[in-house]
Amino acid sequence: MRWRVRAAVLALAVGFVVWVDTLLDMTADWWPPPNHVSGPARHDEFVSKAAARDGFPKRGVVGYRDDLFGRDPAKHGEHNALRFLFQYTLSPLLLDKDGEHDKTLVLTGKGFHLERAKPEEGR
Amino acid sequence: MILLVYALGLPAAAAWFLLRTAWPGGGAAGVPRALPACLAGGLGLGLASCYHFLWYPVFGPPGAGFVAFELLLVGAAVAGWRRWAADAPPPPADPPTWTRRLWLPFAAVAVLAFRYLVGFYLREPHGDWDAYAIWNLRARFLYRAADDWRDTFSPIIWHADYPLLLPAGVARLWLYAGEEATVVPFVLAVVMVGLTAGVLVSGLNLLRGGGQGWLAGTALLCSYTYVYTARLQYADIPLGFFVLATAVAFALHDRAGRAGWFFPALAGAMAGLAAWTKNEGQLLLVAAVLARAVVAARDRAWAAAAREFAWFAAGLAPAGAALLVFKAGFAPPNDLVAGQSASTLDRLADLARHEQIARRFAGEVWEVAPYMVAVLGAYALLVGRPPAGRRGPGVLTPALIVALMTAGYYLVYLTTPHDLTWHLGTSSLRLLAQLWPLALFTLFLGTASLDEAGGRVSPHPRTGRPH
Repeated sequence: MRWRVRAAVLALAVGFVVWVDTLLDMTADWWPPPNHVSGPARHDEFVSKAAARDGFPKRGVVGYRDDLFGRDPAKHGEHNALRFLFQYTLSPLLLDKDGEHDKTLVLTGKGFHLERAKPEEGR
Repeated sequence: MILLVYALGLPAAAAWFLLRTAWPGGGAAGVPRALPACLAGGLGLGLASCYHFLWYPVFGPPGAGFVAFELLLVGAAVAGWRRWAADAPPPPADPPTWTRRLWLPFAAVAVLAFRYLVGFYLREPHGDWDAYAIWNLRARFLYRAADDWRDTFSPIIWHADYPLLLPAGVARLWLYAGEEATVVPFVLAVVMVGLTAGVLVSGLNLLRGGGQGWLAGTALLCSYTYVYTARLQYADIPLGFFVLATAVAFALHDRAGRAGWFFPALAGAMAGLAAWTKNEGQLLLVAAVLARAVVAARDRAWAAAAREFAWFAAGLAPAGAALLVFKAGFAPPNDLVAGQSASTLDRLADLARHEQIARRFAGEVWEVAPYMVAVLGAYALLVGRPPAGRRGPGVLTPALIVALMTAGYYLVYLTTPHDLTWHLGTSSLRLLAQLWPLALFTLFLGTASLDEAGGRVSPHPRTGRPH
């Protein structure tokens, strides 16, 4: 039986060493470089400042329209990622991509702004 | 940071007082140290998220009154504390062997895994995609929305039907911290990893001894998908804790000869919190009841099973109440349920879907812990089963829970109204990671320890009744 135990210990030891090597590589890969700021963190700070500056509502529901990626099915991932990031930053303001609202957050190639419905459109 | 530690420790301490008081064998047999502490950590944090959520519909957004209420809870737990139960005596005298030092590789890999998680947190403090699209987003709603807290459940938000253990838990910690610190969801994620490893290690060391717990804990932290998932700040790691804790409570119940109310009630509480963590957790309720019914049928012990189910249901009540209020009163329809129609039958009969899911699952059993799956398979083959006299509680319950939950996940994918490739690709690996702690518990519960395989221990019964 002893050879079985030795073989079992050897198998565990090999697995352990391989994993430690992998984990060290993973840690090195993901350790942030100096002065790194994550994309969501940068987005969160930038959008919250812009929303405060431009007087965005703080709660309730506004529309959401993505003129940057929203019309391109191939850019569905980017469209969703930005929508979720805007929702995350501006919560508890709700961003409704489907309904019609008095105010709509519009994302364009130049940035984003709050578009107010024109009275004659009855919105 | 002090307030964060206080907020984490408060409900855990209350749960620890309760467990320590009610743990069977609190008299002469004593109470084990580590396992109740690890179970209490998850139980306390889970129950705190339940009453934090229930505070909103009853009293409105939590504030000073909620903080006072939590202090009262701890006071009640202390007041109900009968006496300091003696610590359990050490396990029967196995000869001292080198396996007692198996905590060393566990400690080493725990430090390295923690360093990896810290590195990812420093790189992505808001977590990964679902963290800011679902979990931390809803925590922000609960924390920020004040009187508009019902907006947390607006169908405009992605997956607003998901249960609230994690968002309510994070919002509660932010309440104490006084700010939306990104470190809070990260700390909660790390704590849940630690508690899961703690329950795995201390549970197996108690039930099997011989360093089995340290080996299982090391294997857990040597699992790529598990460590990877821990960094995301998703609810899969907390769910894995509650799935494991449910099975450990049932194993302790078996070890105690299926006598008493405590362990089935504890299993019910943990299963309820699993259901309060993610919709997949509701599958655990079905799997646990079915697994225990099979065990009862095998042993023809229906009267004991009926008592067990009654206490399981009683333990389920706190988290079940929160889930019921949430699902009946606030949650929008679930996309997977609402998407079913006559075409469901077509999906069920579609062999190509069966093949795609089976291939994906088979491939991801390897992916969940590359190398370690092969290593653990070799280990199990080499050491074999424990000697008959030293077998602990049966592996049937945890093995059935793993199998039934996997079958449930399979069925969900089979009937999903979403694109199957997308659905599998975005979730299947994490689902298997939820079950990985329990799979390791099952493996190390059912295999011989290195001491046993080497014939270094006497074949006397170590843990009471074999099953």
